[in-house]
Amino acid sequence: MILGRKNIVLTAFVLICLLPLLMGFVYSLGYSLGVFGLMNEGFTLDHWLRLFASKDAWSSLIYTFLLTLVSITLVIVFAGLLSRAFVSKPERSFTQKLLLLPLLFAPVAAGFAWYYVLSPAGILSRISHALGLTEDITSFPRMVNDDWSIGILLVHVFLVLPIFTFLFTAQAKSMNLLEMNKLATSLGSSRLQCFTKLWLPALVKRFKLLIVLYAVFFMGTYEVPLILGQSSPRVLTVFISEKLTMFSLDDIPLGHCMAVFYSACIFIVLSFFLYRQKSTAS
Amino acid sequence: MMKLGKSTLALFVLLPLLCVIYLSVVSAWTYPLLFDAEFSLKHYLVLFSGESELAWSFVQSVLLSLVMATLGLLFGFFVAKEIAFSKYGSRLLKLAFYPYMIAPVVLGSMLQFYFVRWGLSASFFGVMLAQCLFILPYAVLIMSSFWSENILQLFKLGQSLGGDAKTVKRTLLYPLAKPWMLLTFAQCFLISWFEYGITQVLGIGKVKTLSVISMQFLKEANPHPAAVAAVLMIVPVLLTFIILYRWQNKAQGNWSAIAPINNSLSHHPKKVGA
Repeated sequence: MILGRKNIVLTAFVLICLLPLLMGFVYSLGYSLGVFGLMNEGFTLDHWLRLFASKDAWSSLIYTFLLTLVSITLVIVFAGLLSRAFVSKPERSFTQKLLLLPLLFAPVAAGFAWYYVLSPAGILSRISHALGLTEDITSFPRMVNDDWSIGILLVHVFLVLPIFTFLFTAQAKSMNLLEMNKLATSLGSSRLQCFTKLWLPALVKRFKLLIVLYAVFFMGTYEVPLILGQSSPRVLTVFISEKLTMFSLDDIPLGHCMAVFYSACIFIVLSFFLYRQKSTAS
Repeated sequence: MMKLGKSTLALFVLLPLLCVIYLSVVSAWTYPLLFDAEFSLKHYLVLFSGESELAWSFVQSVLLSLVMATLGLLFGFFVAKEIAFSKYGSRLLKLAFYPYMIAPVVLGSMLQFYFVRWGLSASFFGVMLAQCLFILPYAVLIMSSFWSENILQLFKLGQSLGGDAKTVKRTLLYPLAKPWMLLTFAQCFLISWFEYGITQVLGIGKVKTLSVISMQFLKEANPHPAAVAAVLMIVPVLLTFIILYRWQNKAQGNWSAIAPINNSLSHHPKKVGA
């Protein structure tokens, strides 16, 4: 038998991992170049030129990038602060157990829950009304579907903070960072310097790959911005799904162009970090 | 300062949960009512009426997630073994990240043409197949951390002491793999349970899992049934979590194995580079 069981299994694995991606990519690329699709009439670069001339597409791209950057930075900083607080505590303190709660939420459920916490008619607004801080719905600051994406950022932090906090805490313990921290303090470092120059860099370096993976995850987030985001600018995933599923047939190739662009970017970033990084990253 | 921090953290994690539970047991929660809205269990009672879309959606979600978890476990267990002992194991294993890191909604949009053409769109089987595309590779990622040279040596030792392959598997291999199998099953269940994007795109809204129906209620500005759907999504996760937590307590006392349980990003890069 030329192909042993092992080879069949490995081939099946490679095919499951890559074939659907390749099929989807080829179809979207073909559509974006005018090769496939009922409305297309042959090879053209027009759709790509339209995409890059589109202010909407650029704003979506930049918005997604900024949202990812701010989300992952907030998560890292808060997880760093919490790990600093948890590292000297017993492993299963009440606060740590409490931090497991966000892990129960699917992104849809988290988006929904936070919408009814933060919206002008939500719980916080009603509490502020009851306390006499605001008069009505309009006087409460907008935190959902808002210009600063406060709701989206909060939910991102809510969903991912526990994971990073637990990993950071476990790692800080195993690296004995608390002792190093004490040493740095005794040598004259301030608490802020210890945190920004010792604690965070050590943990970030250790979890570089995981941070990249979560950044990629934030770039692909869909449900949360769909619930809590604005209609413009919107994240890439919402942009793509709108272009591909809405009624304007002219926009479908643009959706495919963006899908190709997005998946190519993810592929390049992932390949760079997965295959170039030495195993010490782990 | 410390107390303020703890209270803020407690509020941050508790508020959404309390909000969802509260919304599911009241009706007519008009502004500016805070906690004095009319208490009602009618949104839950509808579940038992026999015609409830939500109840059917719950059953469908449980079925889908159980099937996906079982498939993930079987696929992960056997494929991870072959990969672990392959010459190109670590390189091959990294391939599992690719389908997982592309947003499911984008992957679904790119594959929609094929699903429509093959008649898989808007069907339970189609959604299942679509979820397989990223759940199966992910299961391999988790299970690969079990298969090591040490396990292989133990297996050989068992055989050299007189056990046949079947007995060694039953008495040594499976008990050793049990925690990983449990973790893989739970994680695959949760990924499927949490999934919205690809289910919506390829199910075209006809395969109504809990996340799909929850979003539908939300779009209709119907918060009370949406809250019931959210509670139904949270309870099974809570049960899974308690089981994992207890097992974790017994096994290692280490958080990291159950920590990455959420939003389907639970792979441990530790295992990949190794």
